[in-house]
Amino acid sequence: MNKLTYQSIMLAAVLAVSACSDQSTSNQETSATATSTVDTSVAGTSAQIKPSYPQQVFWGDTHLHTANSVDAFGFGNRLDSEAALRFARGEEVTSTRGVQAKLTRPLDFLVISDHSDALGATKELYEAPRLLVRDPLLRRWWDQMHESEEGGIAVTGELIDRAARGDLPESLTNAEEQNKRIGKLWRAHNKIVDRYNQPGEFSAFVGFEYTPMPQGNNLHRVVMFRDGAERANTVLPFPSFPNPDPEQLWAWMAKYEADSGGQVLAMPHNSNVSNGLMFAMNKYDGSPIDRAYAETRAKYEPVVEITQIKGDSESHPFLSPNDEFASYGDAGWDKCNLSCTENMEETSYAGSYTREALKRGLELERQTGVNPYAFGVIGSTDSHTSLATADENNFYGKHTGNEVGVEQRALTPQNLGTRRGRFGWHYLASGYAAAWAVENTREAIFDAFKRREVYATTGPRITVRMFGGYQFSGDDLNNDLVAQGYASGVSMGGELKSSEQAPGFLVSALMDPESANLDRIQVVKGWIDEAGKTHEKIFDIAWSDAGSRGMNEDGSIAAVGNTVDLSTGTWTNTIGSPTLSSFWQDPEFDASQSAFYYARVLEIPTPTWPVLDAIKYGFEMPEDMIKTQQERAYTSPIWYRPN
Amino acid sequence: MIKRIINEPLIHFLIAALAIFALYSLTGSGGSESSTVLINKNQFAERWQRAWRRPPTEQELRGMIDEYLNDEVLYREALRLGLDREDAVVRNRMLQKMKFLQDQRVPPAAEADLQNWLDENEATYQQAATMTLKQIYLGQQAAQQSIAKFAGKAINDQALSALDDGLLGIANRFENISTTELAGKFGLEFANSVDTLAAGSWQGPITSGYGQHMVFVVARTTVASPDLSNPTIKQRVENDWLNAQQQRLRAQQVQELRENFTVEFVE
Repeated sequence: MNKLTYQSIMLAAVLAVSACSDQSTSNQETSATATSTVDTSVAGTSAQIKPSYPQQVFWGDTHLHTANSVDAFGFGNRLDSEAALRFARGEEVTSTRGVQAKLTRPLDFLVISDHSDALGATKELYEAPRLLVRDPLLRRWWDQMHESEEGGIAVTGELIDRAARGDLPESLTNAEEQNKRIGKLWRAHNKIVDRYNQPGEFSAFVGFEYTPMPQGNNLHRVVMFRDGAERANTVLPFPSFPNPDPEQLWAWMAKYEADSGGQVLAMPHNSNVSNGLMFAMNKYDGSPIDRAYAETRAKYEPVVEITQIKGDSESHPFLSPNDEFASYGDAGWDKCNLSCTENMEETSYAGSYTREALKRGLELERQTGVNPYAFGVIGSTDSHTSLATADENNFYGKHTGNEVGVEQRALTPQNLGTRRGRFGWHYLASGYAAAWAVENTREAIFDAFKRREVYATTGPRITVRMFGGYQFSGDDLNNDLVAQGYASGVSMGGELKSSEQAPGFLVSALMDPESANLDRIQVVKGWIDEAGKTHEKIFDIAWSDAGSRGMNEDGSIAAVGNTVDLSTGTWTNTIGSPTLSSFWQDPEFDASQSAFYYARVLEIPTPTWPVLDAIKYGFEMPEDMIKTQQERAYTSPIWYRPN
Repeated sequence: MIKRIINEPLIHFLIAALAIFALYSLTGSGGSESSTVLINKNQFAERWQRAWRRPPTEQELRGMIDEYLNDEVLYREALRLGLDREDAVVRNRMLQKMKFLQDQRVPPAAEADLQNWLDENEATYQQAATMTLKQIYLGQQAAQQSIAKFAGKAINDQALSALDDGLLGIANRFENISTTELAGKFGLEFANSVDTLAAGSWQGPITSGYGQHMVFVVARTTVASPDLSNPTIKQRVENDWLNAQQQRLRAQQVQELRENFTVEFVE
């Protein structure tokens, strides 16, 4: 029976029932009069009663750069923290290039994460009187930056390249001078963040980015504070120079927490251009990972940024040859590292992609007793324009040099270092962070990150729930799935206790009402066998048009189709489904094997932002440019561990 | 009166200009039109000390002053020849200095400023009116025949929830939901349509991102006027007021300067 007929019959049934009951049990409130006036002090969200479990998903960006970032300013960004906060919370701002910009759907939270290294330095260099710039290199940069916009971009490229090679001028790395300048900036910035933090409406987080990149291999982390300026001002954002070892960052975090009574967490990102270092089997110094390292890492890095402008780090066809959707966001990012100063061999990929890292975590857990890579996932933008945009139709680009209005931005090479780099179209209009929290406050959202009850999307605001437990059944899908999920199971990010019985999972997904229908929900399972070897398998657990798209013998499902019209940049929601859900029990469960399960939800194909640019600006699209994509959500995993 | 003067942006501007003038006369670079170059050796020595954390040797000091002198005479000659004009780099640099001077601190807001701002922009801070509504999802394409049967009818909620099959996770009933929250759940189009619906009967079909719905607006609430005693509102008002003052001051200064000029359009 197709859905339409079913609905019609049900409607008729309901009408019949209601016709009988109109007199007696019909609803109480057919009147349309306005109810009482609400006292603002009571209506203020802070006074509302907190629900006992998260009923709302909050959307945010945890990775945004402003003019205070050394590279963002160099690329031309002139928008400060305040503009970034105003934009994220839904106010109209004027982009650096003079375009009026406003989010039709404001975000619920924002972490401004400017680079701690040389924070504000390009801005200060640019604004300094030339006379006082004595260092010949800085003076050359000063001249280049003032000469033209291209000059500023060239300086920034060189700056990143030199940072990768550890070859920055002394005045940019001199701790004493840096600290004085940065301290002033940091306190002024935190004051603004506090001013825009509005419990119940919009959570503004203090944060920064720790940016080590030995030989151009990306080991970057975004550090997010639970605290406001008062505590955060007791420290300076921790620089990666001369502290490139993440263990130094964690020690700094531990000290901050002990001294201030506050809390911080760190989120690695762009593992895809880490050349295998982000999730290596060794410590930074090459020694094997031990229990203490695993414990510290698990404590301070509960969440990884899996997708963003500079590509998607979930998986790669080399690692997952049986995963037909593994290549999303890999092109352009899998050949050389961040600064493109080193080529990346396929053998390095295992340390660069999160699915493999989750598997490595099981391996390391067996060796050390603790899983260092038991992380949840979020998406974020890493935008350097102060504008947190992650949709195809509002893509403001990686940095101001390729903002809206730069007609050839999709086609031109986008060099990060001084060597050959990537093309504009390789950049993704991705992603956002979703957090299941009891209310929109710094504390509630930070705590959701800490317990990994968060997920990633590549931009669309797809609502995804995932619960694991031993008492679920298919009936729970039709009852109160969420109440049931929390009552007798764990939500995404949680851990399942040992059991002889196979765990069951309730997964539901609702499309972004402003975006595309859903193609399917998959469960990605990873596990470790007796011999210590890890495996993965992908299960399709719900898909649209299940009647006509049956499961093939090999377990695969036919492609959903493609309605994208490349000449107009549109698609139709005539394929796919607005919502999907399923109860799924692991058919291959082995109670003795540690495992993780996470959900991946795919949209139907939609056009990429370069297609929209090609239509808008009238250029011919290169053959190899990716023109359609299936945007997606990745949940944090649920882990199973035998006793 | 004094406070008024202090708050006057033009005064800030003048003070800043005086400060710069004073600074330049100290370093000896003032009076670029004259043929005298004033040198204060201590200034040079101090600058060296700051950069290198030790006093300069006599030779270093001489070298530094020499370099400065060479630069200065060339600079003055350049000015005399008018090389600073029609040069985009110089022009931009000077513009930037002016903009920097303009961005001086906005004086803190007085309570009355905030109240005035709130009064003038009350709608912005009005807590969103909310409504209680019920909805039935009809699928991506509504069956017209079924819809017709709804008009004006009341349905009990139990029967209604039996229909909740097509759209998991979206409730059939929402208590006190704002338009913004509604847009987050159903999309902007739906929220805007529901905003204009009369309360008290089933209406539809209403289009959302998911498909077609029947909607019954049960009641709408009105809310009290925004008030500065609510700290959240006060903070927002203060943020917006500060932001607006900055914009206003910039525009005002440019405007004041423009009044000194006559603009003629020429072919």
